[in-house]
Amino acid sequence: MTRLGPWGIALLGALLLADTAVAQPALWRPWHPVVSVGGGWTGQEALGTVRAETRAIGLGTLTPSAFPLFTADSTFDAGPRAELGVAVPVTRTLLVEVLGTMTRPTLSTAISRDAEGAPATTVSETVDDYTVGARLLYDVPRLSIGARARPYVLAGGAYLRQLHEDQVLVETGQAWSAGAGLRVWIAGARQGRSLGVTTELAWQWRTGGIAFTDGARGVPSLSLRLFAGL
Amino acid sequence: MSRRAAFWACLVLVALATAPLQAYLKFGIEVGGRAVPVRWAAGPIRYFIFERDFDGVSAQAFSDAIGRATTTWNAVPGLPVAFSAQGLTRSQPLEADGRTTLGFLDRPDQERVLGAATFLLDATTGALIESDIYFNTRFHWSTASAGEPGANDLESVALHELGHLLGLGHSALGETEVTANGRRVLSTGAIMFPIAWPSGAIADRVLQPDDIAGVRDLYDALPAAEFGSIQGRVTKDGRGVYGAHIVAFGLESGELIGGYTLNANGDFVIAGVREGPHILRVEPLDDADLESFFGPAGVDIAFSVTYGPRLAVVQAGGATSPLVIEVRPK
Repeated sequence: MTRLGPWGIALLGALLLADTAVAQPALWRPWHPVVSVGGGWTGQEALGTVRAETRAIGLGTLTPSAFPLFTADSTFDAGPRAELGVAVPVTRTLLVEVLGTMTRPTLSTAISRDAEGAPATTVSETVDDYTVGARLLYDVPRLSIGARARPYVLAGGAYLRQLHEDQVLVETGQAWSAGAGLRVWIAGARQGRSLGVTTELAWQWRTGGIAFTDGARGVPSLSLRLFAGL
Repeated sequence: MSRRAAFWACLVLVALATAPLQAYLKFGIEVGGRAVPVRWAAGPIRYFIFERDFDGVSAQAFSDAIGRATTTWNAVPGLPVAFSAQGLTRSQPLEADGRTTLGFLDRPDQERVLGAATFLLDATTGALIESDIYFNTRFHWSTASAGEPGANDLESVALHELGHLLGLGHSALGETEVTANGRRVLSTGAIMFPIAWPSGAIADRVLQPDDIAGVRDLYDALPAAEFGSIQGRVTKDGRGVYGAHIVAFGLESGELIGGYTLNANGDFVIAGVREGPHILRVEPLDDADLESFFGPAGVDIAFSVTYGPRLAVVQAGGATSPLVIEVRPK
Protein backbone atom coordinates (compact mmCIF):
# COMPACT_ATOMS: atom_id res chain seq x y z
CA MET A 1 0.00 0.00 0.00
CA THR A 2 1.31 3.38 -0.94
CA ARG A 3 1.26 6.09 1.69
CA LEU A 4 0.37 9.62 0.71
CA GLY A 5 3.26 12.00 1.27
CA PRO A 6 2.95 15.78 1.51
CA TRP A 7 2.90 16.01 -2.27
CA GLY A 8 0.10 13.52 -2.55
CA ILE A 9 -1.95 15.40 0.00
CA ALA A 10 -1.41 18.69 -1.82
CA LEU A 11 -2.40 17.18 -5.15
CA LEU A 12 -5.48 15.57 -3.65
CA GLY A 13 -6.50 18.92 -2.17
CA ALA A 14 -6.05 20.59 -5.51
CA LEU A 15 -8.20 18.01 -7.26
CA LEU A 16 -10.98 18.39 -4.69
CA LEU A 17 -10.97 22.11 -5.31
CA ALA A 18 -11.21 21.55 -9.02
CA ASP A 19 -14.97 21.23 -8.76
CA THR A 20 -15.17 24.92 -8.17
CA ALA A 21 -13.10 25.86 -11.19
CA VAL A 22 -14.36 28.75 -13.23
CA ALA A 23 -15.64 28.38 -16.74
CA GLN A 24 -13.79 31.38 -18.11
CA PRO A 25 -10.03 31.79 -18.30
CA ALA A 26 -8.62 33.39 -15.19
CA LEU A 27 -6.66 36.56 -15.58
CA TRP A 28 -4.16 37.96 -13.14
CA ARG A 29 -5.11 40.86 -11.01
CA PRO A 30 -2.23 43.32 -11.35
CA TRP A 31 -0.20 43.80 -8.16
CA HIS A 32 -1.91 40.96 -6.35
CA PRO A 33 0.83 38.49 -5.44
CA VAL A 34 0.94 34.87 -6.46
CA VAL A 35 2.71 32.50 -4.10
CA SER A 36 3.96 29.16 -5.33
CA VAL A 37 5.69 26.21 -3.77
CA GLY A 38 6.78 22.93 -5.23
CA GLY A 39 9.56 20.79 -6.39
CA GLY A 40 11.08 19.23 -9.38
CA TRP A 41 14.01 17.56 -10.96
CA THR A 42 17.28 19.08 -11.97
CA GLY A 43 19.17 17.32 -14.69
CA GLN A 44 22.77 16.31 -14.75
CA GLU A 45 25.28 19.12 -15.04
CA ALA A 46 28.62 18.49 -16.71
CA LEU A 47 31.31 20.35 -14.79
CA GLY A 48 34.17 19.61 -17.09
CA THR A 49 36.97 17.18 -17.75
CA VAL A 50 40.42 18.09 -16.54
CA ARG A 51 43.71 16.27 -16.72
CA ALA A 52 46.31 16.16 -14.00
CA GLU A 53 49.51 16.74 -15.91
CA THR A 54 53.19 16.84 -15.27
CA ARG A 55 55.79 17.69 -17.90
CA ALA A 56 56.97 15.11 -20.38
CA ILE A 57 60.62 15.14 -21.27
CA GLY A 58 61.35 17.63 -24.03
CA LEU A 59 64.61 19.13 -25.19
CA GLY A 60 65.30 22.79 -25.94
CA THR A 61 61.96 24.08 -24.75
CA LEU A 62 60.72 25.77 -21.60
CA THR A 63 57.23 24.37 -22.11
CA PRO A 64 57.46 20.69 -22.91
CA SER A 65 54.38 18.69 -23.76
CA ALA A 66 52.11 17.46 -21.02
CA PHE A 67 52.36 14.06 -19.43
CA PRO A 68 48.89 12.97 -18.29
CA LEU A 69 48.88 11.56 -14.77
CA PHE A 70 45.14 10.94 -14.72
CA THR A 71 41.86 12.33 -16.03
CA ALA A 72 39.01 13.67 -13.90
CA ASP A 73 35.52 14.03 -15.31
CA SER A 74 33.09 15.79 -12.96
CA THR A 75 29.32 16.09 -12.96
CA PHE A 76 26.53 17.12 -10.68
CA ASP A 77 24.22 14.15 -10.67
CA ALA A 78 20.55 14.72 -11.45
CA GLY A 79 18.31 15.00 -8.42
CA PRO A 80 15.26 16.57 -6.79
CA ARG A 81 14.91 20.20 -5.91
CA ALA A 82 12.58 22.41 -3.90
CA GLU A 83 11.21 25.72 -5.11
CA LEU A 84 9.49 28.68 -3.50
CA GLY A 85 8.34 31.71 -5.44
CA VAL A 86 6.45 34.95 -5.07
CA ALA A 87 5.23 36.56 -8.26
CA VAL A 88 3.59 39.91 -8.83
CA PRO A 89 1.48 40.40 -11.96
CA VAL A 90 2.33 43.70 -13.56
CA THR A 91 -0.33 43.19 -16.22
CA ARG A 92 -3.00 40.57 -16.69
CA THR A 93 -0.53 38.34 -18.50
CA LEU A 94 2.93 39.37 -17.35
CA LEU A 95 4.39 38.48 -13.98
CA VAL A 96 7.62 39.33 -12.22
CA GLU A 97 8.67 36.51 -9.94
CA VAL A 98 11.27 36.11 -7.24
CA LEU A 99 12.15 32.44 -7.10
CA GLY A 100 14.38 30.49 -4.77
CA THR A 101 15.51 26.94 -5.36
CA MET A 102 17.41 24.47 -3.25
CA THR A 103 19.03 21.23 -4.31
CA ARG A 104 21.57 18.85 -2.80
CA PRO A 105 23.29 17.33 -5.79
CA THR A 106 26.11 14.83 -5.59
CA LEU A 107 29.32 16.07 -7.13
CA SER A 108 30.82 12.98 -8.74
CA THR A 109 34.31 12.94 -10.14
CA ALA A 110 35.24 9.95 -12.25
CA ILE A 111 38.99 9.35 -12.24
CA SER A 112 40.45 7.34 -15.08
CA ARG A 113 43.48 6.83 -17.32
CA ASP A 114 45.94 6.68 -14.47
CA ALA A 115 49.53 6.77 -15.69
CA GLU A 116 50.39 3.78 -13.53
CA GLY A 117 47.31 1.80 -14.33
CA ALA A 118 45.33 2.37 -11.16
CA PRO A 119 41.75 1.21 -11.67
CA ALA A 120 39.17 3.83 -12.55
CA THR A 121 37.22 5.10 -9.60
CA THR A 122 34.68 7.74 -8.66
CA VAL A 123 34.89 10.08 -5.71
CA SER A 124 32.00 12.22 -4.65
CA GLU A 125 30.64 14.74 -2.21
CA THR A 126 27.26 16.29 -1.58
CA VAL A 127 26.84 19.98 -2.32
CA ASP A 128 24.18 22.38 -1.09
CA ASP A 129 23.03 24.40 -4.08
CA TYR A 130 20.87 27.52 -3.75
CA THR A 131 19.64 30.03 -6.28
CA VAL A 132 17.72 33.23 -5.68
CA GLY A 133 16.69 35.31 -8.61
CA ALA A 134 14.09 37.16 -10.61
CA ARG A 135 12.16 35.95 -13.65
CA LEU A 136 9.68 37.32 -16.11
CA LEU A 137 6.72 35.06 -16.91
CA TYR A 138 4.45 35.80 -19.81
CA ASP A 139 1.17 33.92 -20.09
CA VAL A 140 0.25 33.37 -23.71
CA PRO A 141 -3.53 33.92 -23.91
CA ARG A 142 -3.76 32.91 -27.56
CA LEU A 143 -2.57 29.44 -26.66
CA SER A 144 -5.02 28.87 -23.83
CA ILE A 145 -6.33 25.36 -23.59
CA GLY A 146 -9.93 25.67 -22.60
CA ALA A 147 -10.83 27.76 -19.62
CA ARG A 148 -8.34 26.38 -17.17
CA ALA A 149 -4.98 25.91 -18.82
CA ARG A 150 -2.64 28.40 -20.32
CA PRO A 151 1.00 28.06 -21.37
CA TYR A 152 3.64 30.60 -20.47
CA VAL A 153 7.22 31.38 -21.30
CA LEU A 154 9.85 32.55 -18.89
CA ALA A 155 13.30 34.07 -18.69
CA GLY A 156 15.38 35.24 -15.77
CA GLY A 157 18.60 35.34 -13.86
CA ALA A 158 19.65 34.25 -10.41
CA TYR A 159 22.47 34.36 -7.92
CA LEU A 160 24.02 30.93 -7.40
CA ARG A 161 25.47 29.86 -4.09
CA GLN A 162 27.01 26.44 -3.50
CA LEU A 163 28.42 24.98 -0.31
CA HIS A 164 30.74 22.02 -0.33
CA GLU A 165 29.96 19.04 1.87
CA ASP A 166 31.80 20.13 4.98
CA GLN A 167 30.19 23.58 4.73
CA VAL A 168 33.53 25.37 4.87
CA LEU A 169 33.82 26.58 1.31
CA VAL A 170 31.26 28.64 -0.55
CA GLU A 171 31.38 29.15 -4.29
CA THR A 172 29.15 31.63 -6.06
CA GLY A 173 28.05 32.27 -9.60
CA GLN A 174 25.14 33.15 -11.85
CA ALA A 175 22.32 31.14 -13.34
CA TRP A 176 20.38 32.34 -16.40
CA SER A 177 17.25 30.49 -17.37
CA ALA A 178 14.66 30.30 -20.10
CA GLY A 179 11.82 27.90 -20.61
CA ALA A 180 8.14 27.29 -20.90
CA GLY A 181 5.39 25.93 -18.73
CA LEU A 182 1.74 25.19 -18.47
CA ARG A 183 -0.44 26.75 -15.81
CA VAL A 184 -3.66 25.02 -14.82
CA TRP A 185 -6.25 26.77 -12.71
CA ILE A 186 -7.95 24.40 -10.36
CA ALA A 187 -9.99 26.91 -8.48
CA GLY A 188 -10.55 30.59 -8.63
CA ALA A 189 -12.65 33.26 -10.12
CA ARG A 190 -12.04 35.64 -12.95
CA GLN A 191 -10.14 38.55 -11.46
CA GLY A 192 -10.33 36.88 -8.05
CA ARG A 193 -8.33 34.57 -5.78
CA SER A 194 -7.14 31.47 -7.50
CA LEU A 195 -5.44 28.17 -6.98
CA GLY A 196 -3.66 25.98 -9.46
CA VAL A 197 -0.62 24.07 -10.53
CA THR A 198 2.16 24.79 -12.95
CA THR A 199 4.46 22.42 -14.68
CA GLU A 200 7.53 23.87 -16.21
CA LEU A 201 10.46 22.82 -18.36
CA ALA A 202 13.42 25.16 -18.31
CA TRP A 203 17.00 25.32 -19.38
CA GLN A 204 19.55 26.94 -17.14
CA TRP A 205 22.95 28.29 -18.11
CA ARG A 206 25.32 28.49 -15.18
CA THR A 207 28.54 30.43 -14.91
CA GLY A 208 30.85 30.49 -11.91
CA GLY A 209 30.11 28.35 -8.93
CA ILE A 210 31.61 24.89 -8.82
CA ALA A 211 33.01 24.16 -12.25
CA PHE A 212 36.29 22.98 -13.62
CA THR A 213 36.22 24.49 -17.08
CA ASP A 214 35.43 27.94 -18.34
CA GLY A 215 32.17 28.88 -19.99
CA ALA A 216 28.51 28.32 -19.27
CA ARG A 217 27.08 24.91 -18.42
CA GLY A 218 23.60 23.94 -19.50
CA VAL A 219 21.25 22.24 -17.07
CA PRO A 220 17.67 21.13 -17.80
CA SER A 221 15.06 21.23 -15.09
CA LEU A 222 11.47 20.09 -14.69
CA SER A 223 9.24 21.37 -11.94
CA LEU A 224 5.72 21.08 -10.59
CA ARG A 225 4.38 23.78 -8.29
CA LEU A 226 1.18 24.64 -6.55
CA PHE A 227 0.26 28.32 -6.80
CA ALA A 228 -2.17 30.54 -5.02
CA GLY A 229 -3.20 33.92 -6.36
CA LEU A 230 -4.00 36.18 -3.44
CA MET B 1 78.41 11.92 -20.82
CA SER B 2 75.50 12.66 -23.01
CA ARG B 3 71.77 12.30 -22.70
CA ARG B 4 71.95 10.13 -19.66
CA ALA B 5 69.97 10.87 -16.58
CA ALA B 6 72.20 11.68 -13.67
CA PHE B 7 71.26 12.07 -10.08
CA TRP B 8 71.26 15.32 -8.31
CA ALA B 9 72.76 15.08 -4.89
CA CYS B 10 72.70 16.96 -1.71
CA LEU B 11 75.43 16.54 0.87
CA VAL B 12 75.35 17.65 4.43
CA LEU B 13 78.66 19.17 5.36
CA VAL B 14 78.04 19.17 9.05
CA ALA B 15 77.38 15.80 10.61
CA LEU B 16 73.88 16.25 11.90
CA ALA B 17 70.93 13.98 12.05
CA THR B 18 68.49 15.44 9.61
CA ALA B 19 64.78 14.96 10.13
CA PRO B 20 62.24 15.54 7.40
CA LEU B 21 59.45 17.82 8.50
CA GLN B 22 55.78 17.53 7.84
CA ALA B 23 54.18 18.81 4.66
CA TYR B 24 56.55 19.39 1.81
CA LEU B 25 59.87 17.63 2.29
CA LYS B 26 62.09 20.10 4.05
CA PHE B 27 65.38 19.62 5.81
CA GLY B 28 65.18 19.69 9.55
CA ILE B 29 67.24 18.97 12.61
CA GLU B 30 66.36 17.89 16.11
CA VAL B 31 66.75 20.72 18.60
CA GLY B 32 65.73 20.09 22.17
CA GLY B 33 63.73 17.04 21.20
CA ARG B 34 61.75 18.68 18.44
CA ALA B 35 62.31 19.02 14.72
CA VAL B 36 63.04 22.52 13.48
CA PRO B 37 63.41 23.47 9.83
CA VAL B 38 66.80 24.19 8.36
CA ARG B 39 66.49 27.55 6.66
CA TRP B 40 68.02 30.98 6.37
CA ALA B 41 67.26 33.83 8.70
CA ALA B 42 65.31 36.63 7.05
CA GLY B 43 67.37 38.90 4.84
CA PRO B 44 69.72 38.57 1.89
CA ILE B 45 71.47 35.29 1.11
CA ARG B 46 74.83 36.56 -0.06
CA TYR B 47 76.63 34.31 -2.48
CA PHE B 48 79.88 34.31 -4.42
CA ILE B 49 80.85 32.76 -7.73
CA PHE B 50 84.03 30.69 -7.92
CA GLU B 51 86.20 32.29 -10.58
CA ARG B 52 86.79 29.39 -12.91
CA ASP B 53 86.05 28.78 -16.56
CA PHE B 54 85.18 25.29 -17.70
CA ASP B 55 84.06 23.53 -20.84
CA GLY B 56 83.49 26.76 -22.74
CA VAL B 57 81.52 28.30 -19.90
CA SER B 58 83.30 31.40 -18.63
CA ALA B 59 83.03 32.47 -15.01
CA GLN B 60 80.94 35.40 -16.20
CA ALA B 61 78.57 33.20 -18.18
CA PHE B 62 78.38 30.94 -15.16
CA SER B 63 77.59 33.92 -12.96
CA ASP B 64 74.89 35.11 -15.37
CA ALA B 65 73.22 31.69 -15.38
CA ILE B 66 73.29 31.56 -11.58
CA GLY B 67 71.89 35.09 -11.56
CA ARG B 68 68.93 34.00 -13.67
CA ALA B 69 68.27 31.05 -11.39
CA THR B 70 68.42 33.19 -8.25
CA THR B 71 66.10 35.73 -9.87
CA THR B 72 63.61 32.90 -10.44
CA TRP B 73 63.64 31.95 -6.76
CA ASN B 74 63.58 35.61 -5.69
CA ALA B 75 60.37 36.03 -7.68
CA VAL B 76 58.47 33.65 -5.39
CA PRO B 77 56.01 35.92 -3.59
CA GLY B 78 56.41 36.65 0.08
CA LEU B 79 59.76 35.05 0.80
CA PRO B 80 61.62 36.80 3.63
CA VAL B 81 64.95 35.88 2.04
CA ALA B 82 66.46 36.86 -1.30
CA PHE B 83 69.64 35.92 -3.11
CA SER B 84 72.21 38.66 -3.42
CA ALA B 85 75.23 38.29 -5.73
CA GLN B 86 78.52 39.35 -4.19
CA GLY B 87 80.77 38.87 -7.20
CA LEU B 88 83.62 36.50 -7.98
CA THR B 89 85.89 34.76 -5.51
CA ARG B 90 89.00 32.60 -5.78
CA SER B 91 87.74 30.37 -2.99
CA GLN B 92 86.23 27.21 -4.37
CA PRO B 93 83.05 25.57 -3.15
CA LEU B 94 83.20 23.23 -0.15
CA GLU B 95 85.58 25.45 1.77
CA ALA B 96 84.03 26.16 5.14
CA ASP B 97 84.86 29.85 5.06
CA GLY B 98 81.53 31.37 5.98
CA ARG B 99 80.94 32.30 2.34
CA THR B 100 78.25 30.74 0.23
CA THR B 101 80.07 29.86 -2.97
CA LEU B 102 78.90 28.34 -6.23
CA GLY B 103 81.23 27.03 -8.89
CA PHE B 104 82.69 24.24 -10.93
CA LEU B 105 84.53 21.55 -9.04
CA ASP B 106 86.33 18.40 -10.13
CA ARG B 107 84.50 15.49 -8.60
CA PRO B 108 85.41 12.47 -10.75
CA ASP B 109 84.45 10.26 -7.82
CA GLN B 110 80.84 11.43 -8.10
CA GLU B 111 80.20 9.82 -11.43
CA ARG B 112 76.43 10.23 -11.33
CA VAL B 113 76.24 13.55 -9.55
CA LEU B 114 75.73 16.68 -11.62
CA GLY B 115 75.87 19.03 -8.69
CA ALA B 116 75.39 19.17 -4.97
CA ALA B 117 74.68 21.58 -2.17
CA THR B 118 76.42 21.47 1.17
CA PHE B 119 75.40 23.14 4.39
CA LEU B 120 76.95 24.74 7.41
CA LEU B 121 74.35 25.52 9.99
CA ASP B 122 73.79 26.51 13.57
CA ALA B 123 72.91 23.27 15.28
CA THR B 124 71.07 25.07 18.07
CA THR B 125 68.59 26.89 15.83
CA GLY B 126 68.68 25.26 12.42
CA ALA B 127 69.69 28.58 10.87
CA LEU B 128 71.90 28.21 7.83
CA ILE B 129 75.25 29.94 7.91
CA GLU B 130 76.81 28.83 4.66
CA SER B 131 75.81 26.66 1.76
CA ASP B 132 78.06 25.87 -1.16
CA ILE B 133 77.04 24.40 -4.48
CA TYR B 134 79.39 22.67 -6.83
CA PHE B 135 78.82 21.67 -10.43
CA ASN B 136 80.71 18.55 -11.37
CA THR B 137 83.27 19.03 -14.16
CA ARG B 138 82.83 15.39 -15.01
CA PHE B 139 79.92 16.55 -17.17
CA HIS B 140 79.48 18.90 -20.11
CA TRP B 141 77.75 22.17 -19.31
CA SER B 142 75.97 24.83 -21.28
CA THR B 143 74.53 28.26 -20.67
CA ALA B 144 73.06 28.60 -24.17
CA SER B 145 69.63 30.16 -24.06
CA ALA B 146 68.04 27.32 -26.02
CA GLY B 147 70.14 24.64 -24.42
CA GLU B 148 72.72 22.52 -26.16
CA PRO B 149 72.46 18.88 -27.16
CA GLY B 150 74.84 16.78 -25.12
CA ALA B 151 75.38 19.42 -22.45
CA ASN B 152 73.62 19.90 -19.14
CA ASP B 153 71.82 23.17 -18.68
CA LEU B 154 73.59 25.06 -15.92
CA GLU B 155 70.64 27.27 -15.09
CA SER B 156 68.31 24.27 -14.64
CA VAL B 157 70.70 22.43 -12.36
CA ALA B 158 71.38 25.64 -10.44
CA LEU B 159 67.67 26.19 -9.88
CA HIS B 160 67.41 22.72 -8.35
CA GLU B 161 70.50 23.10 -6.17
CA LEU B 162 69.43 26.56 -5.04
CA GLY B 163 66.21 24.94 -3.87
CA HIS B 164 68.33 22.72 -1.63
CA LEU B 165 70.34 25.73 -0.56
CA LEU B 166 67.08 27.32 0.58
CA GLY B 167 66.28 24.22 2.63
CA LEU B 168 64.07 22.13 0.38
CA GLY B 169 64.35 18.38 0.11
CA HIS B 170 63.33 16.38 -2.91
CA SER B 171 59.90 16.16 -4.43
CA ALA B 172 58.58 12.83 -5.66
CA LEU B 173 56.37 14.40 -8.31
CA GLY B 174 57.55 12.55 -11.33
CA GLU B 175 57.41 9.29 -13.19
CA THR B 176 60.33 7.11 -14.18
CA GLU B 177 60.92 3.74 -15.70
CA VAL B 178 63.74 1.34 -15.02
CA THR B 179 65.99 0.58 -17.96
CA ALA B 180 69.18 -1.41 -18.37
CA ASN B 181 71.17 1.78 -17.73
CA GLY B 182 69.24 2.83 -14.66
CA ARG B 183 66.17 4.97 -14.32
CA ARG B 184 64.79 6.98 -17.18
CA VAL B 185 62.69 10.01 -16.39
CA LEU B 186 59.34 10.07 -18.15
CA SER B 187 57.98 13.22 -16.61
CA THR B 188 58.35 15.53 -13.63
CA GLY B 189 56.08 17.99 -11.88
CA ALA B 190 58.74 19.70 -9.81
CA ILE B 191 62.18 21.20 -10.19
CA MET B 192 63.04 19.42 -6.96
CA PHE B 193 62.51 15.95 -8.43
CA PRO B 194 65.72 14.05 -7.62
CA ILE B 195 66.60 12.89 -11.14
CA ALA B 196 67.72 15.36 -13.77
CA TRP B 197 66.29 15.62 -17.24
CA PRO B 198 68.52 14.53 -20.13
CA SER B 199 71.19 16.89 -21.35
CA GLY B 200 69.83 19.44 -23.79
CA ALA B 201 66.68 20.00 -21.74
CA ILE B 202 65.97 23.48 -20.36
CA ALA B 203 62.44 23.12 -18.98
CA ASP B 204 63.72 22.97 -15.41
CA ARG B 205 64.42 26.69 -15.55
CA VAL B 206 60.79 27.25 -14.57
CA LEU B 207 59.54 26.60 -11.05
CA GLN B 208 56.48 24.41 -10.73
CA PRO B 209 53.59 24.88 -8.26
CA ASP B 210 54.99 22.12 -6.05
CA ASP B 211 58.35 23.95 -5.74
CA ILE B 212 56.69 27.26 -4.99
CA ALA B 213 54.36 25.75 -2.40
CA GLY B 214 57.29 24.03 -0.75
CA VAL B 215 59.50 27.07 -0.37
CA ARG B 216 56.61 29.29 0.72
CA ASP B 217 55.67 26.71 3.32
CA LEU B 218 59.28 26.50 4.53
CA TYR B 219 59.52 30.26 4.99
CA ASP B 220 56.00 30.77 6.37
CA ALA B 221 55.09 32.76 3.27
CA LEU B 222 51.67 31.30 2.53
CA PRO B 223 48.98 33.97 3.00
CA ALA B 224 46.01 32.54 4.87
CA ALA B 225 43.70 34.39 2.50
CA GLU B 226 44.90 32.30 -0.43
CA PHE B 227 46.02 28.91 0.81
CA GLY B 228 44.93 26.11 3.05
CA SER B 229 46.13 22.64 3.81
CA ILE B 230 45.03 19.04 3.45
CA GLN B 231 45.57 16.62 6.29
CA GLY B 232 44.96 12.96 6.64
CA ARG B 233 46.35 9.53 7.13
CA VAL B 234 47.42 6.74 4.82
CA THR B 235 46.78 3.22 6.04
CA LYS B 236 47.25 -0.31 4.78
CA ASP B 237 45.37 -3.12 6.41
CA GLY B 238 44.34 -0.57 9.00
CA ARG B 239 47.87 0.42 10.00
CA GLY B 240 49.75 3.58 9.18
CA VAL B 241 51.99 3.67 6.11
CA TYR B 242 55.34 5.43 6.42
CA GLY B 243 56.84 7.06 3.36
CA ALA B 244 53.78 7.19 1.12
CA HIS B 245 53.71 9.97 -1.46
CA ILE B 246 50.44 11.89 -1.64
CA VAL B 247 49.65 14.21 -4.51
CA ALA B 248 46.84 16.75 -4.27
CA PHE B 249 45.39 17.80 -7.61
CA GLY B 250 43.31 20.97 -7.59
CA LEU B 251 40.30 20.50 -9.85
CA GLU B 252 39.97 24.27 -10.15
CA SER B 253 43.61 25.35 -10.00
CA GLY B 254 45.04 22.46 -12.02
CA GLU B 255 48.02 22.43 -9.65
CA LEU B 256 49.76 19.32 -8.38
CA ILE B 257 51.22 19.60 -4.89
CA GLY B 258 52.93 16.68 -3.18
CA GLY B 259 53.53 15.56 0.35
CA TYR B 260 54.56 12.51 2.34
CA THR B 261 53.55 10.45 5.30
CA LEU B 262 56.42 10.96 7.67
CA ASN B 263 55.55 8.90 10.70
CA ALA B 264 54.51 5.38 11.53
CA ASN B 265 50.92 6.47 11.96
CA GLY B 266 50.78 7.44 8.29
CA ASP B 267 49.88 11.06 8.99
CA PHE B 268 50.36 13.68 6.32
CA VAL B 269 49.84 17.39 5.85
CA ILE B 270 50.06 19.14 2.49
CA ALA B 271 50.37 22.88 2.89
CA GLY B 272 50.25 25.61 0.26
CA VAL B 273 47.14 24.28 -1.44
CA ARG B 274 44.73 26.67 -3.09
CA GLU B 275 41.02 26.83 -2.28
CA GLY B 276 38.71 24.33 -3.88
CA PRO B 277 38.15 20.60 -4.25
CA HIS B 278 41.16 18.34 -4.69
CA ILE B 279 41.72 14.76 -5.73
CA LEU B 280 44.23 12.89 -3.60
CA ARG B 281 46.41 10.25 -5.22
CA VAL B 282 48.65 8.06 -3.08
CA GLU B 283 51.58 6.24 -4.61
CA PRO B 284 54.60 4.37 -3.29
CA LEU B 285 57.99 6.07 -3.41
CA ASP B 286 59.22 3.93 -6.28
CA ASP B 287 60.21 6.50 -8.90
CA ALA B 288 63.65 7.19 -7.44
CA ASP B 289 66.01 5.76 -4.86
CA LEU B 290 64.50 6.02 -1.40
CA GLU B 291 67.69 7.66 -0.16
CA SER B 292 66.82 10.58 -2.41
CA PHE B 293 64.01 11.45 -0.04
CA PHE B 294 64.77 10.25 3.46
CA GLY B 295 66.11 7.24 5.29
CA PRO B 296 64.68 4.11 3.68
CA ALA B 297 64.17 2.26 6.96
CA GLY B 298 60.52 1.46 7.38
CA VAL B 299 59.36 3.00 4.10
CA ASP B 300 56.54 0.91 2.68
CA ILE B 301 56.40 0.72 -1.10
CA ALA B 302 54.38 -2.50 -1.30
CA PHE B 303 51.10 -0.96 -2.30
CA SER B 304 49.36 0.16 -5.46
CA VAL B 305 48.36 3.64 -6.52
CA THR B 306 45.18 4.51 -4.65
CA TYR B 307 42.89 7.53 -4.79
CA GLY B 308 41.31 9.21 -1.79
CA PRO B 309 37.74 8.07 -1.08
CA ARG B 310 36.35 11.57 -1.41
CA LEU B 311 37.34 15.01 -2.59
CA ALA B 312 39.38 17.10 -0.17
CA VAL B 313 37.81 20.56 -0.16
CA VAL B 314 40.28 23.21 0.89
CA GLN B 315 39.29 26.51 2.42
CA ALA B 316 41.77 29.37 2.50
CA GLY B 317 43.29 29.71 5.93
CA GLY B 318 42.04 26.34 7.09
CA ALA B 319 42.79 22.67 7.09
CA THR B 320 40.52 19.97 5.76
CA SER B 321 38.98 17.47 8.11
CA PRO B 322 41.32 14.47 8.32
CA LEU B 323 40.94 12.09 5.43
CA VAL B 324 41.88 8.42 5.78
CA ILE B 325 43.09 6.72 2.62
CA GLU B 326 43.34 2.95 2.79
CA VAL B 327 45.78 1.80 0.12
CA ARG B 328 45.63 -1.51 -1.66
CA PRO B 329 48.49 -3.89 -0.85
CA LYS B 330 50.51 -4.88 -3.89
